[in-house]
Amino acid sequence: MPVCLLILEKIDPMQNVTSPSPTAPKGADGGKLSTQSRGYWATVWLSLRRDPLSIACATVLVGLVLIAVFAPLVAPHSPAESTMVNRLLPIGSAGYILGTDELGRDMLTRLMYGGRMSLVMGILPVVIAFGIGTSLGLMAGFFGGWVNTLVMRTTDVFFAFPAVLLAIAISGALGPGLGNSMLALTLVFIPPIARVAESVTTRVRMLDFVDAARASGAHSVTIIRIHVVNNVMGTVFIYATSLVSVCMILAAGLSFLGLGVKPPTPEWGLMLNTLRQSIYVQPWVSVLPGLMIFITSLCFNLLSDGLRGAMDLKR
Amino acid sequence: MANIVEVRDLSVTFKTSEGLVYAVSGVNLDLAEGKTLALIGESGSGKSVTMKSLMRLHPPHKTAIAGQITVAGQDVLSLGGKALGDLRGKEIAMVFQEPMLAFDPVFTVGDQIAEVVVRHEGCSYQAGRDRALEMMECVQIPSPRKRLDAYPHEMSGGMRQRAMIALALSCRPKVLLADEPTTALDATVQIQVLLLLRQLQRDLGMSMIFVTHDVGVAIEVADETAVMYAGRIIEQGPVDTVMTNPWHPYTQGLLGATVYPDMDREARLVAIPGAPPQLYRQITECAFAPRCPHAVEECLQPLPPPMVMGDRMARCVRLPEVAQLAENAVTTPS
Repeated sequence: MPVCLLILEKIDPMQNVTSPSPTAPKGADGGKLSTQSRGYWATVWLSLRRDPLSIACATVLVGLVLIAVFAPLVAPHSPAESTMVNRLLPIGSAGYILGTDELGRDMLTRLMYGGRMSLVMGILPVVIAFGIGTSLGLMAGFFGGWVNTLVMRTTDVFFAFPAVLLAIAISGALGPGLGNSMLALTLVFIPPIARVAESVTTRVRMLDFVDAARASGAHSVTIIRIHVVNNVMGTVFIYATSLVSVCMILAAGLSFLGLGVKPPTPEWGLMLNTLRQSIYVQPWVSVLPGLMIFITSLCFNLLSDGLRGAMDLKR
Repeated sequence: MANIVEVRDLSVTFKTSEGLVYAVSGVNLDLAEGKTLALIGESGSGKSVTMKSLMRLHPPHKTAIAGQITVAGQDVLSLGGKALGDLRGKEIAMVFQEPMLAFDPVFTVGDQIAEVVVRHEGCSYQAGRDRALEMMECVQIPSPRKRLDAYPHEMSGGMRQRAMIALALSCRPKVLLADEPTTALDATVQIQVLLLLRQLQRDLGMSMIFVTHDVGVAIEVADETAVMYAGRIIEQGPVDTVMTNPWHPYTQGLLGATVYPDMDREARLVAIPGAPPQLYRQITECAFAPRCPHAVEECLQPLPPPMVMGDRMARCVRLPEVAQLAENAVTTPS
């Protein structure tokens, strides 16, 4: 603080010329004004709040998550309770609003419980891949040289296989099971995220403000941690949100192939698979899990689109 | 008076995919405390490279720097990590050419200034912001309190450059490097920023190195001047004598190609024929010789040591006669 006063004194003759009223940052009303400015995320939120489509999608997603979390409280039946008499009831049957599946289990209940697995399998691998991929990409992009070659050429190997095939291959090699399929999905999503992060970092690193930060005495770590990360994060974050829907569909696909969740655990992909045989008997009931996957994916995609707009401060 | 910046035999070489580029070779510079030096030269003459070397901003694995640089008593080339960071921004600060790109687009301007203050003075964020506000007032940004929370893209070019100056001066550096600070601005704003810089330099008693390719700007702000060509300083001295009586043929050509007030409308500017040389080889002879109207056989021999006369220096083999020629040329028509 003494240093600050010092500078104020030193430049005082000039200030008298430019601004007749002396500054009083410690004043009762003045002090309040120059406190912490509105943060980046607060600005993004303000912008997002004005976009009805994004808000609608976010509401749907929050609703789905809440229902999944509180499934035991809100579900009308037990997910495993089956009555063979009530097999494949149509939508709107008494006691079974959304009908029943091929084993006579309540569809509504199973869709609610299924959301738990499906959402976890859709979001968690992307979140983990986001963390690992972004770190790798930042490192590769900022340090360049052999670090870049090592990281990027390794990720390139993964690009040789289509995502679905890779997920199936890894999952198949590791054996079926929830943990293994999540691991497979995570591995599938690290390379594309790392590549996006790397390309954005390389671009950001060349910009003048990185030099300007260095010229102001910032350490490399500070520059990465504050300036590069914040400039890269937006793009990568948006990309990762769009991957959630892909991940959900892949997860559903793995379960559909019998590589993910095992029956009788309710999961949308698995339910879609088992109800496939009943599609000519009860087509509307059979498509319900698919519809859920569709709605969730769509909401994630639209939300990431809205975020893209909101996070671009220059718009 | 003590020299705040001393550069001895500075050579900067870049490794590129097409081979080595000898961007700066054998540059000597002295800057006294409280003085302003204008570094003049065309694009690619090594002005900005010299400036960035003073702060060691070049990517280390692609650059070889030889020579000695002393800033505020510290040997810049031998400083490591933390000490170098302490020097940058605190002792020596830089205003960049493009105010568009020199601010991080995702932080407010006030935050970015506060960040630098916190880094160097270890004060609280709040104190940093208070300082940022003082600096914004100091550089005459209108309604500074509001502008503190503005993002860089919400400001005009001139205002952003003022904010850049505020950022550079926030820790009261002893030396300010201004790398063509007015080039990206439009003409009226250029003058304002220029006058502001000059005034701040005097009020704060700092030294300033001002890179420009505009001779008029150099005359306006500087005490001393150094003219660069192809990575070398070819003429150096007090700005008024160098500009009124240039010795080196390149400086003469530069002035001949410059518009000045009260110029005859019919008068034609004389362009220097040819283009600056490629720097892929180490040029030992006079780099200007191929374009020089006074060039003789001797000019293709390795360049002799600089010719120093009084407070002026120039590097030309035919120096006394060439300077005389120019003087005659200037005096004859008028």
